[in-house]
Amino acid sequence: MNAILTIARKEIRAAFRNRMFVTITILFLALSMLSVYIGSTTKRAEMRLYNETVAMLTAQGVTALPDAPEIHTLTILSNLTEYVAIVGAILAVVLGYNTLTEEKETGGLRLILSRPVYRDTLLTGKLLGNSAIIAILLVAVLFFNLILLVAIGGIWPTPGEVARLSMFVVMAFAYMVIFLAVSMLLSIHMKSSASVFLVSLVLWMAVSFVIPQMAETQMANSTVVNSVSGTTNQIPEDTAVSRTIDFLSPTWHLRAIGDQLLEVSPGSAALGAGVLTVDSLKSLLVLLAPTLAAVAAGYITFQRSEALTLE
Amino acid sequence: MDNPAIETHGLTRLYGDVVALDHLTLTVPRGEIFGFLGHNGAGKTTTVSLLTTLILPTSGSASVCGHDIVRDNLAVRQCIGYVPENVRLYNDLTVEENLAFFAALSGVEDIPGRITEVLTLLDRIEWRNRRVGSFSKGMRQRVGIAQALLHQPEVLFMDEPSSGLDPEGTQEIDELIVRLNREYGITIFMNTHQLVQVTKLCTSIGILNHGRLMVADPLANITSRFAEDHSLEDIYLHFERNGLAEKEQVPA
Repeated sequence: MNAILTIARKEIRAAFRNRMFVTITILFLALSMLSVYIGSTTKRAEMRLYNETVAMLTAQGVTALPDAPEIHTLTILSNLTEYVAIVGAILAVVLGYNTLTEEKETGGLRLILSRPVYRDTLLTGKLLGNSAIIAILLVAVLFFNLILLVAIGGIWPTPGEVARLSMFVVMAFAYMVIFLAVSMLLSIHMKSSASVFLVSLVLWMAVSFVIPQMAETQMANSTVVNSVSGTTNQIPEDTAVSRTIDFLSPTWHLRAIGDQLLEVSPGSAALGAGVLTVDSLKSLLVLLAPTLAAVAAGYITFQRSEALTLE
Repeated sequence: MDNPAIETHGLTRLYGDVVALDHLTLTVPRGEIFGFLGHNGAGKTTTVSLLTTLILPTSGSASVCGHDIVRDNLAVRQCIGYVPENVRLYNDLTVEENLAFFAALSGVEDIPGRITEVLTLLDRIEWRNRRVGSFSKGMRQRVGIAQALLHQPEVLFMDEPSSGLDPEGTQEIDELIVRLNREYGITIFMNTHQLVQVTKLCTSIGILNHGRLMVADPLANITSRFAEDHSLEDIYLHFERNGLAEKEQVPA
């Protein structure tokens, strides 16, 4: 256990001294600040417009005033889902792509493995350290956003909203760890850091953009016009295909659960804690599955690959 | 009698069909500075990789400090230090952080104290808080030696310890190797191409050719077979080509 923690601590220390990682982290935090700012100003503008309308109508003697716009606090943070899907994933790749390739390139792997350390200990330590970095970062983003919500938006979130936001952070963690685990797996297999980085980004683009786009295209084409009534009908079989394609994209899952937790989806603000918990657990399982597969493959490959120490 | 530091019996390693090491049988007594010579691709690094338990043998057996390299590999790793040819460590970390990392992996108890001892031994205590990323090759090599000494190993494996160093750096490393051997009793197993270094430092040598051990003997025994005007280069080339079997034909 000590060796695992030693390796994990080293990963954390090295990451926070890595310029690329620090730059992307700052970008991530800056984007969330911007997100809260834009969200808050939009909502404030919406309220101001409503108040002006009400004042004008009242001045005209109108008594039947329109309902106030429904403003859900967490929708202010709805852009977070996109930032996690894009910047968060890249950040995870940055953490993972160099995990073993750097040590393969520098010969550091030989130094570590000539110590009384098992190979699985090394991998566990690296996974733990880099996952901890992601967790630290997301918790920082959570607090940062809550503070900004109060400071910029002038809104004090309710305990329920804090719970939703915390749940979203758990989902974001599960999502980002997928890209960490996949890039770590690639770094076991491949020789150069640059290749691992490139392939990881291609995979991220595939699951984040290509697969959802394919599903959308499929969905758009899965309608048929009834020649008798002239109505357009959805083809159920094609819709199922489209949903299956979407299911393959972790980004789609993050967006779906993110929209629900951050009150973006219609009716999601009214969902009870029980429904949200069940939906979140389902999404969590789906998001953890690729990570578990990548980690298992990584352990098997790393245990067997002698080539790693000879490169 | 003490166990030898290193003992191998028919140690063989194949990479696919290629024989990298062919039935190596070798004994290195404790307290030696053993120079392992051979052309590029002769199997020296494979031997060190096997003895440091980085890879598994295809057949044969070996023990280091009395521990079997396959069955008891963690005990082997606990008693050895390893200095690769190009030490690069972690550029973003300081010397102390790098050393603390490797010390912790080896289970060293008083890590700060041991780092002080090792850096003092190397006469480089002022490097403690400097980042390794700014170091030259020679400086890194010294830090590499420091990391290998942290857990007080009985056997130190060094791969081309002076490769790429300037004469001053080479001399400093040579003096350190002798000190480690004489003052601390560490057995040194050194892969090298530098015959001058071998003559200066090694008490015994082994010559490997295409994975086969051509000769392994104390240096004095080897040189005594030749006339005084034979350089170590001549002797090396002779053994590399002919092995010990034809020693009788050596013109004395």
